[in-house]
Amino acid sequence: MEATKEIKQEQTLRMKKYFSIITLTMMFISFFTTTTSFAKVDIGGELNITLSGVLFREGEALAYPQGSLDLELYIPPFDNNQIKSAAYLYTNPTTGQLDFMFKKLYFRHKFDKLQLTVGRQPISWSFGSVLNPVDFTLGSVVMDEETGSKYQNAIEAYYPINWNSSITAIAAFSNGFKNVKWAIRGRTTLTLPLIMFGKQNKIVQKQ
Amino acid sequence: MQKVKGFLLIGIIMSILCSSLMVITAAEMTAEEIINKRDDNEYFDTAQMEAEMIIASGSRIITKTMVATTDKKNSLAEFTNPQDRGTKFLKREDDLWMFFPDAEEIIKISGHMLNQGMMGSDFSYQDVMESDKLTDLYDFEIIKEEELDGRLCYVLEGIAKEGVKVSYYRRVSWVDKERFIGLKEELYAQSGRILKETKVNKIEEIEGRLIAVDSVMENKLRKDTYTQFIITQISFNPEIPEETFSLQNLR
Repeated sequence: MEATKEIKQEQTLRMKKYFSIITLTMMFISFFTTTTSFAKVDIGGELNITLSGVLFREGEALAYPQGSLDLELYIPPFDNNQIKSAAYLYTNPTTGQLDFMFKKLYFRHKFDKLQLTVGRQPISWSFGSVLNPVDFTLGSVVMDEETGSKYQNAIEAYYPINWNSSITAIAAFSNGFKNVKWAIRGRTTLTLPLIMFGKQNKIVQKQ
Repeated sequence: MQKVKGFLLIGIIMSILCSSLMVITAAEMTAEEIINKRDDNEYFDTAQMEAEMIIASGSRIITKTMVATTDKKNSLAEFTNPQDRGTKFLKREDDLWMFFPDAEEIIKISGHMLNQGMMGSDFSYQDVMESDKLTDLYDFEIIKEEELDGRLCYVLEGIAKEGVKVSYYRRVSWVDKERFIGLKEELYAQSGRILKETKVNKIEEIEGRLIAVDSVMENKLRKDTYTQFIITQISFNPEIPEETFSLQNLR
């Protein structure tokens, strides 16, 4: 039982590694086989440090610093390609240790009538749809707050129909590539996107 | 001989009278003609520009840079300064969309949100949306002539036409008498309260047009704030691909 668990974990990590390697390889091949201006490559970010205090009923007080760093590597678009890389480093409030995650690490190619995005990217399944009234009250800035779950390993195909209508097909891999969630999202002039959630398929590991 | 002298005298008097009439007629431009001449300068078919927006609030100054492509009814603007890089706006006729680069989402800005300052500036989204000719929206009349920064100006008052949706009920505009370009404008609410004031700092002739390349907008409802808009580069009548003004281009 324990051995099976270990094998599964190993396979999950391997899949995650392969996905990242494939994405990075595509990025490097496109980047270095086309001419681009290295002078326009930029790195930057935002550092936040806060000091939080907790006062317990028993009179005990506890203070702890929290920090986060949003780091982005900007590479200008080239030859209908786009590479985006953004990392988020933060002090885990529960463990107090430094942790990090990639918010974005994707490669996008714009074909004539299709845009394909592969890699870690923000996905908002119900944003802007009638299913989510928050979109129309608090606005998208609130939606942009750090919620971690928004950033997923996914493949997205975006097909524009005309200037304001489009269809997007997304396959997102979650839970260490154990699950795949897919959806088709349509957008029209009425700004009432129709989202159909596909089945969450479990990837069965062969032993 | 006396008859000849008589005819000559009548001829001279007639010439003087005709000349005076022509001078009077030329001087009496209507308010609509003045605003139309100003619009001829300020409105164009298509343009591409690079601009800088300096937002000052007290001692805090933020500079944002942008590139924009525009035609008569539509425009696409993208912010290029590092902090806002990737933020884009698309205006299509009377609709405005915004792209948030962090969330990679597009939202339509409508309703009360249009009155908010664009990117924290003193220009509201509604200010940016205005593209119709002023003579279509307001009834103008000349109220006086005044010197402003050494330039003689027509001062015109515009009151919103009935049934027309505008951001400001009343406008008072200072239009340069010689160059027919707006130098200053005061924007009022229906209550009579002044809401905003714009002033032009610098005018340049570009491709035969006189363009205000440096102007300042002050929000009179807030203290110690202003937004300076500087056009660093502009070209007129470029060829704009058909699919430029589309939601696809916001991504």
